[in-house]
Parts: sequence; structure tokens; C-alpha cells
Amino acid sequence: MLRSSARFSLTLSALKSDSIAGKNLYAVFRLHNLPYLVTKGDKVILPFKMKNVNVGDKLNLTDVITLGSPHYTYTQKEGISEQLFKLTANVTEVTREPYYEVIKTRPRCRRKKIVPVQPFQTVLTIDTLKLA
Amino acid sequence: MLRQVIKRTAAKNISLVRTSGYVASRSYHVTKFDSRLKTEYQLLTDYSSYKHTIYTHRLPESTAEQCPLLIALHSRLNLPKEYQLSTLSQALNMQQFGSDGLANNFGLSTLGKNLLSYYTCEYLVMQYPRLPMAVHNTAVDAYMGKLTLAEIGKSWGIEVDTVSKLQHFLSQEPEAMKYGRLRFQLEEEKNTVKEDGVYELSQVEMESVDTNNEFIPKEIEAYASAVQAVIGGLYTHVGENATKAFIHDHILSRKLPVDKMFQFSKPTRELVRLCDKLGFTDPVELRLIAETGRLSAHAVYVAGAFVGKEKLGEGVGSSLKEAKTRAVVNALMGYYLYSPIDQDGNEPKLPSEAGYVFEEASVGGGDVAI
Amino acid sequence: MPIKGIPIPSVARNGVGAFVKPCYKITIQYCNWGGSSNGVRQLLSNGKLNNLALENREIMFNIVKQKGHPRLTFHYNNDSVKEIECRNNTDGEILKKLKEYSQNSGNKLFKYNHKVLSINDSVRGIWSPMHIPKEHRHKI
Repeated sequence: MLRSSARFSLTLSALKSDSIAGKNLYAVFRLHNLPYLVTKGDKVILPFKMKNVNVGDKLNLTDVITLGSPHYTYTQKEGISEQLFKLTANVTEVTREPYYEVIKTRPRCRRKKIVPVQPFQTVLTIDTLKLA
Repeated sequence: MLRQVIKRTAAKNISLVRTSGYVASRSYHVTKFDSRLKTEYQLLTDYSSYKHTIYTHRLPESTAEQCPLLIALHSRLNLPKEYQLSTLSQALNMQQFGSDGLANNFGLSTLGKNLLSYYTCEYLVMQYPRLPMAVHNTAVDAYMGKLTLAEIGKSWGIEVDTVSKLQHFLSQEPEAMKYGRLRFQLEEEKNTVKEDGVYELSQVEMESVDTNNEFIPKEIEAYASAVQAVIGGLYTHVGENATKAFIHDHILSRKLPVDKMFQFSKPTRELVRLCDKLGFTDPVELRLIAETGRLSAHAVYVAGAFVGKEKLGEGVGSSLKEAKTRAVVNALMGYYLYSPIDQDGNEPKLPSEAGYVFEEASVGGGDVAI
Repeated sequence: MPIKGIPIPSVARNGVGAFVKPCYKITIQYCNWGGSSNGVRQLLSNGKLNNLALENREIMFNIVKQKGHPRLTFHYNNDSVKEIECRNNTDGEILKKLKEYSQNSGNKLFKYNHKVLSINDSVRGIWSPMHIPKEHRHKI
């Protein structure tokens, strides 16, 4: 059995060389406990308006549970140590979904209520994804 | 009636200009009178008294500061404080001798173009040292060709100055506004009424029409030169490191589909020659790895290109020939698209970075002749 | 030549490396007389628009005085223009609209039913039934 620190470095070097210095690398990060699998340059489309951010802000995503290359995967359910990778995203757009209407009805009532719906969307673009 | 006459004379003028240009290029040099040079003379026949009285100057910084377009562009591109707005305005001026007598972007654009090609080539060579020359050139063009640069210029929100002096005056727009727009059209071009769906080529554009009947519009050229000039201006103001970072952020951050840029004519022959060159002793063999539905309408074959026990590439096709060719192309791509990594598994440093160490892998082995 | 290059343009990825705000110009048109422009006039006089313009220096604000109902026009770098009505809106409502549309990219609104939009090839590749050892393959 290897000690955990030695195992870290071994996994890291395997990931590094297998992903050709991070060219073929993916990461799974968690946002509000939901996993998102991303590579560099991907757009993450969130179905809500992220609080306290503006377009152009850079976010440091630290809650990463998986780093993977074509042949190796490193997973830590409780989160991978921040020193091992760098994952940042740019907030590139705060927009809305297309407009639609929801018809709401109540039982035993003939009245229909038409509710306009146009929920917010936040788009993040993965700026950097690399191993430390 | 009057309108017809004017139209006719205008048409005549055009034909006159064309024929004179034609003659000049054929037989002898004809001095053309260029009104933009503001030539003055004492006597028409005394050629020694002829002199051009145009003087170009830089836009004063105080005037440039009054142009909101320039301020917005400056902060949109996140340019450093040292970058003067007057330089930014000059980068957008493509007119050689405009009526306002302002310096144009020729020098800045040349500087920017050279910096761009230097850093783009450096990046590409270090990323893909084995890229064949033709593909390398295509890749450079994909990063910093005129069309790409024009697209970048448009995405920076640069507007074209199409407002003529008269319209400028009528709309009561401040004078400084035009210094923040891309200026390449002549005053008389702005005044011509444009027909929807009809684009009249200028003389320069006529000359750039190639065999495929394609040409580079003047606007594209102007946008590209403006982007180059902005980069050149950055270099003159804050130097090399900031310019390099700017180029990496804005141009080299684009996605390059380099694997789609290869067009092979005889891939199998090329692979055999390549393996010869690399000194592999075993012969190249194409073997069938798996197949299904040979007798059906949709057969699938998986072929592999092998040298001895080593598999170089693999391809899937609906016929044996297709699968074989794909396997060979896959093997060739594996060789050509090789990217080196250093001993620690990191991306190797660029020669322009501090702490660069030469490694043998960063030099390509030359093209394969077939 | 054995190999020819196929000219394919590189693909822009705004937000990778540098981020350039897509909304580059906002035109605010109002009327000096009409009641529906009350909100815009307030916005112009109470300095809130100045603050917004100072916060968003990358956007050029163009104020146009013209008769008729007020309207906001947003210009984006993909040549799209969005025109928003703001008649009878209060200054707060207009400010909200200005902030919202200046953060758009100018693309057509669309609902994406997946979480991540990618133009990269899959890192792991595509699963193939032909690469399973022969004895484990599905037999018909």
C-alpha cells in the first residue's frame, strides 16, 4: 500500500502524461451539489441567475470530485485537494430562456390562469483547466 | 433628363480611368494627379515648383479623450493605462492621406502583424513540431488570417465610419466621434448611393480576385489591419510581455481544428515512407481487427495499421478499403499531431519564456517526400 | 505535395483567455415632453445613469432626444440589435432592464436541455462494441 501523498503524486503524473499536459483532460465539479463534467472551453449553462456575480467575473471552481484523462481517472467523493488542479470559469452571459406561458388550473374551477414564464440563465465558460 | 446625363458622364469617367490605368501598366509611367496630396505650383509648366503640401500629424490626446467610442474600446479590451487613446484612434485609421491629415495605421499594423506571426508560429511549432509545412501555414492562417482578424475586430465592437461629412453635420454629431470609428472609405465612396444586394468592387479589390472568383473586401482588410495595429500599439506602449499575453488571450485562445486540416493524396504510401524514414525494421501491415455484417447492407470493419506488434492507428469503415485508409490516416495523424511534454509532464516552455530549455522533441523531422 | 492544408477558420471562444463584453453600445431614446419618458428623464437627472456608465466603461451610452415613446436599443458584437420598449417605466425598472440586457450576448434566446455545451471532442472517446474481447461480444 502506498501512502496517500505518494499516491497523489503518482496519479497526478499519470494523469499529466496521459492527458498530454492537460490537453485531453476533463473535470467534474460540483455546483449546489450538482455535478458538471467539463473540458476547457466548455459552456456551463445554469438554469438560474447566479447571485452576486456579473458578466466578466472570473470564478475559481474548487469543489472538484473527478479529474480524468483518456485512460486514468482520479475521484475523491469528498473533493480533490485544491493544490492539485486549477479550474476557473468566466461568467460570460446572464440571459433568459425563451418566453413561454403556463396555463394553471384548479380542480372544480373553470377559471384558467395564464402565467408568463421566462426563467434566468447564467452561462459560465471554462477558462482554465490544468493540473498543478 | 439631367440625371441621365450625369449618370452617363459618370459612367464615362469610370471607363476612362480604367483604360488609362491599363495603358500605364503596359507601356509607360503616367503621373496621375492625386488631389489628396494638395499639390501646389507656381507655374503649370514649371515642374520644379511642384510640391505636396500635405502634412500628416497625430491626433492630439485631448481630442481623443473626447471620443466615447475610444474610451469604451480601450476599457473593453482591458488595455493598460499607458496605452494612449490617440494611438488607438490611429490604429483605426486606414486612409493614406485623409482629408483630416491624420497619421494612418500602416506602421503600427506592420509591427503588429510581425509580432502576431512571431508568437503564432512559436506557439504552433512548440505545440505541434511535426506539422507538415502546408498544414502549418493553414493553421497560421486560421489563427491570424485576414478573415479571422476581421472577425476578432468585429467582436471588439469596432464600428465602420460610413457617415459622410454632410451627414455628420446634419446629425449634429460631435466631431470627435469619427476618430473612434474604423476609417477606410474615401469621402466620395461614402456619398455614393448603395444599391441593396449589389457590391461594386474597387480597383484594389478587382486585383485581388483570385481564380475561385473570391476576393477580400476592403472592409475585411481594414478590420484586420486595425486589429494588427492595436497589437502594434500595445507593443510600442508597454512592450513585449503584455503584447504576448494579449496575443495569447485574444488570438491563440481560439479553438483550432487542426485535425480537420489534413488532406492526404496517397496516405498509405506516405505511411510506408514515414516508417522507412523512422527506421522501423518491420514492414507496415494493415490488418483486420474486427468485422460485423459482411454479408449485410451495413457492414462494419475495423482495420489497424501495424508495424510488427505495435499498432500505429486504427480506423472504422463500411468497406475494407475505407477502414484501411482510415487506419492509415489515423496513424499518420498520430505522428503529425504529436505534442511534446517535458520531464515533469508539463507543457514545455516557449522559447520566449524565462527558463526555456531546448529539447530534441521540439524540432520536427522534416516533411515526408512521396 | 503529399499533404495539402484545408483552410478552416479557428473558432472564437469568448471567455477563454480574454473576455470581451458582447454589448458594446446602448442607445437611450427619450422625449423631453411626453409623459411616458418620465422615468428616463429622472434617470438622466438623478445621476443613476452616470453611475451605471461609470461602472460599465466598456459600453458606449448614446442618449438621443426624439419625440415619441422612449426606447432602449442594445447593440451586440454579433451584429444583432435588441430594441426594448420602456414607456411609462420608472427609473428603477429602466435601470433593471439596462443591467439585464447589457449582460446578454445578443444571441437568440434558447433553452438548452443539457448542462454543458461543448465543441471539444469527448476525452474518453466513443464506446464501440467492436473493441470488446470476442468472447464477450453480443451474439445474435
